[in-house]
Amino acid sequence: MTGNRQTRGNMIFLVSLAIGLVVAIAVVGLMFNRVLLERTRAQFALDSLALTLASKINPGDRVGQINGLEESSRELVFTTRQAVNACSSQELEGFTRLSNLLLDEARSGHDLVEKERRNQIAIIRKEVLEAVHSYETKREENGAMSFMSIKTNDPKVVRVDLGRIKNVDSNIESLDAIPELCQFDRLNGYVDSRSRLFKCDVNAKLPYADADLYFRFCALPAFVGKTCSPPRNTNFDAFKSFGRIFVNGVDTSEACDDIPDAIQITTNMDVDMADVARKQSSLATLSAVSTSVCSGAASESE
Amino acid sequence: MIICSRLTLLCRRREGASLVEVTVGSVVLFFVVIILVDLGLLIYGVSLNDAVCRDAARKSASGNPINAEQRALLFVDQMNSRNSGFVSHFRLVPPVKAEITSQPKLRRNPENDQLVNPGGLVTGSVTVTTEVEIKPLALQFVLGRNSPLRFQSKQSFPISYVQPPD
Repeated sequence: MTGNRQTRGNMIFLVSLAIGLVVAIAVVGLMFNRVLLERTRAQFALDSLALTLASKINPGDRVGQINGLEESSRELVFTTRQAVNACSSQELEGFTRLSNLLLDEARSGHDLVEKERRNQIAIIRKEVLEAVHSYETKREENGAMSFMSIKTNDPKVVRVDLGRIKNVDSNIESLDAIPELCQFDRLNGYVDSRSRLFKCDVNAKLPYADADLYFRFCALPAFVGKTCSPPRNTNFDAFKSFGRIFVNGVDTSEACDDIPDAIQITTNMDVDMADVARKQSSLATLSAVSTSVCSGAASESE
Repeated sequence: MIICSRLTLLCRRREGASLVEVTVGSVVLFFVVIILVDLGLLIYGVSLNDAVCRDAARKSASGNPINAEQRALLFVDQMNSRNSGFVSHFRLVPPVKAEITSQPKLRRNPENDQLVNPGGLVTGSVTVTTEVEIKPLALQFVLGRNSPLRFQSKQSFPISYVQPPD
């Protein structure tokens, strides 16, 4: 009897065990594969969102136009200061008053440009945040997607940074129209020696009495030949942050001093496993980062 | 003699029973493995189609929206030439939809009073649908060789294009 109990049904048991094992391994493999697929899907959705938001930074070439205004204002202040100095050195009292008046106008014009620059930073920030909130609202409305007992949501935005792309200068070229200013800019390293474009991470101060004015150019891909750079996704290493404007569903008050030309978004996507009892257990949180740069300067601002 | 012959019969029965169990179990295991291979193939094909669709959407969204379908078609053809075997028949399902939300408006040139294109950013999205045919090993015999399984994927990506000025 004992012998019968030991041998009968052993093979059935072993074969059933083998089948169960194969099926279990296959199920684990398929679930792992699904998590990887969800990661790819999340990255694609994030790239798409980042590109959409980057397109909102420079529509109508507003960043390029601000850079152009900065340069014009800078030249105007420099030339009017030259006129004031020339009048006083030649003792032309009648013209001195007029040139001083023009200088005051040029300086107050620069104040307006600076205000507008700050205004553009605020507008870009507001528009990007509105788009992020709109995305988050849609994401919550869409709800979760369930397949093969794995439940996923659309990626949740956890962080939004505004900034610029490293090694990209402004779109404004230093012209030789005012040789003294051109030489001054080169000596002070305001201009890239090869491209002759104004650098974006410096305060391009004017000499002497006008050194108190703040001239800051924004990074923006220049208009080259007949080509304007389109918005595109780029490597996250190339990004330099000016400030974090959105963290975990909350708008921050972190200030940005420069107009951004790029955006970096970080998202988290929860992958949950729904069991038989309809209780959920978190399987993984997939994090993804995407960086996008806005469209470059259009021909008008060159 | 009687006892001995009964023992022999009992041993033969046990060996035979094990053989039958292994045979039946192996057949079941074989079908389970085949079904799992088929399932794996289906999932692989569907995920590959998703990837092709995503990349086709990216490619077609990068550039002039007028030529979006051509770019997507070219990419799908490239993928078909690269892949081989069970999952190789990707097909672009027309039309490739380019939804433009904003584009540069024509301006009137004051010098000659003609409308000119000032150039500028084009925004919107391109939607691409691709289809793949998968011929699973076992299901082929059930469904017939000329009726492969078809799966579709639909993906959208924002347009990345700046229209050059006239």
